[in-house]
Amino acid sequence: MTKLLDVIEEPSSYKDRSGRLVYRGDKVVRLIDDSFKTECIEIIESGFYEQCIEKEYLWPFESKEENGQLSFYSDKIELIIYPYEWGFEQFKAAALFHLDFLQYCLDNNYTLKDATPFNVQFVNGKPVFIDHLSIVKYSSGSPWMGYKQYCEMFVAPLVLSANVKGRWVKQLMMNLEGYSLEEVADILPFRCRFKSLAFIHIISLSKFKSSDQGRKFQIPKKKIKFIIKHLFVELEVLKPIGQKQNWLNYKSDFPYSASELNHKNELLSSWLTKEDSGLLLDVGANHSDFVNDVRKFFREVVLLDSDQAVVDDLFLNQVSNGSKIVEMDITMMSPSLGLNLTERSSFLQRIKPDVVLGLALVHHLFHQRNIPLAKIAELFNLFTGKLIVEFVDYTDEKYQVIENPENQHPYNKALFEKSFSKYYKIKEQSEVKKGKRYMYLMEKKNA
Amino acid sequence: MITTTYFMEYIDPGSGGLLFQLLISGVVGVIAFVKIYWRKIKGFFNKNKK
Repeated sequence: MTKLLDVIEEPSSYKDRSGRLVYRGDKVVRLIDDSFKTECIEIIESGFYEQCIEKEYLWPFESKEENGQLSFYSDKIELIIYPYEWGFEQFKAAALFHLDFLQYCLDNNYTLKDATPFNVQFVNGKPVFIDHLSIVKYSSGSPWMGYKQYCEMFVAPLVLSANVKGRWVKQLMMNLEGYSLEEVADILPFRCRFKSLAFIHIISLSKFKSSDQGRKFQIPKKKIKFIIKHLFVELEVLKPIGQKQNWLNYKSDFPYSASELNHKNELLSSWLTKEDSGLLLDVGANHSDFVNDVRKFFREVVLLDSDQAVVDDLFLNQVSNGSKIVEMDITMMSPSLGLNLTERSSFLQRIKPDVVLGLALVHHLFHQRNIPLAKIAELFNLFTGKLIVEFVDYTDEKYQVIENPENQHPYNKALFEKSFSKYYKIKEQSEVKKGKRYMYLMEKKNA
Repeated sequence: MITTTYFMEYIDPGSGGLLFQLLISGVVGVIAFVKIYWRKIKGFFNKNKK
């Protein structure tokens, strides 16, 4: 294999025997291993990769051969969001997309050799397959190689979410290789024995033990398609249970009058559209209609919220505007995980925003999490870029609703400004609701 | 806390799955077919109700 000096190796690419993934400038490069080269060239020559790219199944790439080393060059995706940072609906969309793509591959005499949600990313709101080397030639009679992995990584978290209260998609963080089907079968309630999805693809599969003697059998492609169809039909109607809808009605219970809201939006637009074009991170996004207005000024907009129902609603209803949607509590961001703690990088390592929005958020962090203002300022300072933040005074009706009388930390506008001034220079500020709500435009002192 | 699966399963994600796939394929094919048509029938009547 050619030695490339100016490259950074992707820590998670050690698993793939067909090639390794490195970063070279602004390109992602897949260095194809000699063991997969002949098959890879055949797929290139057949035009199947091109076909998948045209159908928007596969992330585009360009193949090059330099000194005998076959490589795939593709553009870096602006921001990788890991499956455990998706909401239920987004995760389900990825699961259905994987089945759809597998079906397409089989129709063209190819297949996917594995089945992990880490091979899917959402770009402009749509799922796309990013692991080019997962596509291999289908040989007649062979099974769906990724079936069990699909059940462990896609079906298990979805079935758990639909039957047992909990954030099972998020818990993939602790199960990077997927759930143990035996353990999932034990957790599922008795009624799941009467549901074909859970009974067949989790409970029965977990109890089924066979050795390599199974390889004497051949399975017709038509029968694999039956399994794919069944999974699709069952998964597409799954809904999570026990989702609290705390913030779903925020829009109808808005704290601003029409003129105040208009003023706030005008202010934000004037602060944002002057020189910005990079990445906007909206922390505690909720149904931020305002972001729709400025979406076009940014290469990427990331909407972050910890409320499951809000995140699902954002994904289902705002998927067309192309923002990245992340289900995450800002006080518990994803850490580095996996082998040597480098396999999956932390959220902070991945996101480098140009602008951070924190609208009507500080008072929630203060009261619901008991975080002093100085620590809230420190939290925002973890991110790059300028900050647009809202301060809600204790006289505001919404503040009084969430006020925690146990919270003994001081809270006032002067202390808020002092705390944030440690890290930021306050460039502009404006009152958006008389005596109650204030907006600040801040720039980092050390920028 | 649910633990991760035994890592060898990644090495050959299909191991043990072939015979199982063969056994279930007929049953799941019928279930999928029935569900698809049941949903179509339900959809037809719901549309007519509206």
